[in-house]
Amino acid sequence: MIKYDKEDIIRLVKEQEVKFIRLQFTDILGILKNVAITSEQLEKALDNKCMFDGSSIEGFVRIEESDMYLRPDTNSFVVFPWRPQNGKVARLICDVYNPNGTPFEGDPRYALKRALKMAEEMGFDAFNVGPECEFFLFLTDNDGNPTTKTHDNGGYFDLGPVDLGENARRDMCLALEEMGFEIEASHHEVAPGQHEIDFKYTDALTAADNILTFKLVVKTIAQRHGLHATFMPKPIFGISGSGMHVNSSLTKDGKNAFYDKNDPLELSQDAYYFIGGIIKHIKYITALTNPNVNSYKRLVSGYEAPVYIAWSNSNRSPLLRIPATRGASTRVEVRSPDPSCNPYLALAAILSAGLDGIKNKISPPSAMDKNIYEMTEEERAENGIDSLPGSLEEAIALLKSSPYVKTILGDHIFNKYIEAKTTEWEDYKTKVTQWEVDQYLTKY
Amino acid sequence: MDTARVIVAIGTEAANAKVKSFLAENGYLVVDTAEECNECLRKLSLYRPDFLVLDSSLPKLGGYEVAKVALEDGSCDVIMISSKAQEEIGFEMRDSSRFSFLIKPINKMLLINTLELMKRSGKRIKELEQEVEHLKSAIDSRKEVDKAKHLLMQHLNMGEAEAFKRIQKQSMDKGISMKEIAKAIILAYDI
Repeated sequence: MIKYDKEDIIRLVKEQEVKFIRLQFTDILGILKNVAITSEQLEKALDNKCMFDGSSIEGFVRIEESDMYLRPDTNSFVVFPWRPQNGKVARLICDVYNPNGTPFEGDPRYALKRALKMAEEMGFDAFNVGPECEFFLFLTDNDGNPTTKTHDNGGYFDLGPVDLGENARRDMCLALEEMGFEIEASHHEVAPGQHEIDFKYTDALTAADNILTFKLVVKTIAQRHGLHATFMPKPIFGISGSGMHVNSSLTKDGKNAFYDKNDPLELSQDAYYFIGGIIKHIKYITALTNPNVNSYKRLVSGYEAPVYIAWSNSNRSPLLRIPATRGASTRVEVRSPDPSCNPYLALAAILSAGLDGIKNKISPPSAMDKNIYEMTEEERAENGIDSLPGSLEEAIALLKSSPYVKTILGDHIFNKYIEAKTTEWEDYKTKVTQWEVDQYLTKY
Repeated sequence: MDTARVIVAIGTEAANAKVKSFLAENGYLVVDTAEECNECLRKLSLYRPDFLVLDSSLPKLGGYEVAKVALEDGSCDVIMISSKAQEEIGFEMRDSSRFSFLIKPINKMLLINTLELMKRSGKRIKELEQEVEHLKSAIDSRKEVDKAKHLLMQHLNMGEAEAFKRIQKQSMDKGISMKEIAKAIILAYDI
């Protein structure tokens, strides 16, 4: 990762004629927020003097505590490749601080930094993450509103030889590469209109920053192609949903800590304990990795999304999968998260769960290479295979019951997150859905 | 000249059809039409036309948003049709040679003449750009060869003509451009 300091940023802004800088941060739900400044205010921002009203941000503070400061992370400086004539726009990801100079406990980025500190204290020099994000590209209707129709069925094939979605995805990759992202792969996914872009792994903080920017770039470029991009986990019943697989590994002394060539699976003891930790905590953190009502419509069998808590070296769709590569690319792939999650909280939760496994030497159950979906409930119970929560309500209850997760998130985020999610669930619970109308209106 | 491909997005189906048939009569190929901004953006991406004839009040985002994307992303020229004589045109469009502005009602001959003019000047600009690229590359190459020549003269005690011939011979023998040989020589002496 490129390291910039304050002078570098001032110089780059001048050299590249950047007119606007977006100071970005997130609320606890992972929605990107920004304060846009002009290049004249850049020095003030770099001196950590930019302020905003914290009471207007979801999960932040009440009105009486509202002044918050933004401290830009200079290493996150990136210039957006579009709108070159209006004046270039750059972004700086910021940490949120209290007026007294302490980091704000409600800042999700701080939660991830705390988890990374814990890893460092345990002797690991980095937690590397390579995310694989899926998304849908939908058409808009005549009023410009998004639909769930994909162009694949839209009859464009008879008009042009090239796929509209492929064009858009290619432009997305070009834009991301221009911004310095390293794209490993990009392809059309299983469902019509569904695409995937995979990033090369980087340290978790950069990866989380990049996931947010990636979503922004995808949405912007989709719009420029007249399409609507969505990271909604399950927009259409009956076809695959969109997940965000997290390929993770820890490094120690510059080497991959998960690799051990003497083990039958070539995995180190730390790797096994990491898996053990995640298996232990995953259902308690699912409310973080799969944050909304719709997330649970994706976690059903039949669409390659995980349902049961198990790991495997060879199985196609377990919760935790160990891809075949070894050596420096040895990693554990966590397959349950979806791209609507707050990446800072999700990665902090996954890392902490894994570290807990390493610290307390939690051995994982044996690898489950049989097809779990074909087992009966008794067989699963016999094998000790538990399931992920089946709804947001279940997930919230599990989150609430875990003191370990409370320490990872800190009281502020823990309480605010539960509050926000409970409100969401209560609202959903009381709404009358189209399904009910279809089922019962004529019958009764 | 090849047939220019156009997308027409004036607004209603009827208006589009009228312009489409008129353009076709004059030798232009209208690949598709659009009645709304997102539809227009999708078709721009699919067809990559040479020209876009666009109404400034196209629903829903307005013609200028589409024009911005067309000028920045695509290689197509834009003709904006508007009902207001004095309109807020962003400076980036006013200064662009790929953007033109016509007032409604559309004067057919004026539209054709504008298209013709943009086609010709676009072609000329492309030719000039290529020539400039070519010249730039030739100058770069000459600079590198000069540098390498002087290095050889200095270190191997050669005359100018001999040094040049040496570089030329290496280039012919190895089948690599003289510029590459020059670069290699410069690098070697840098060590």
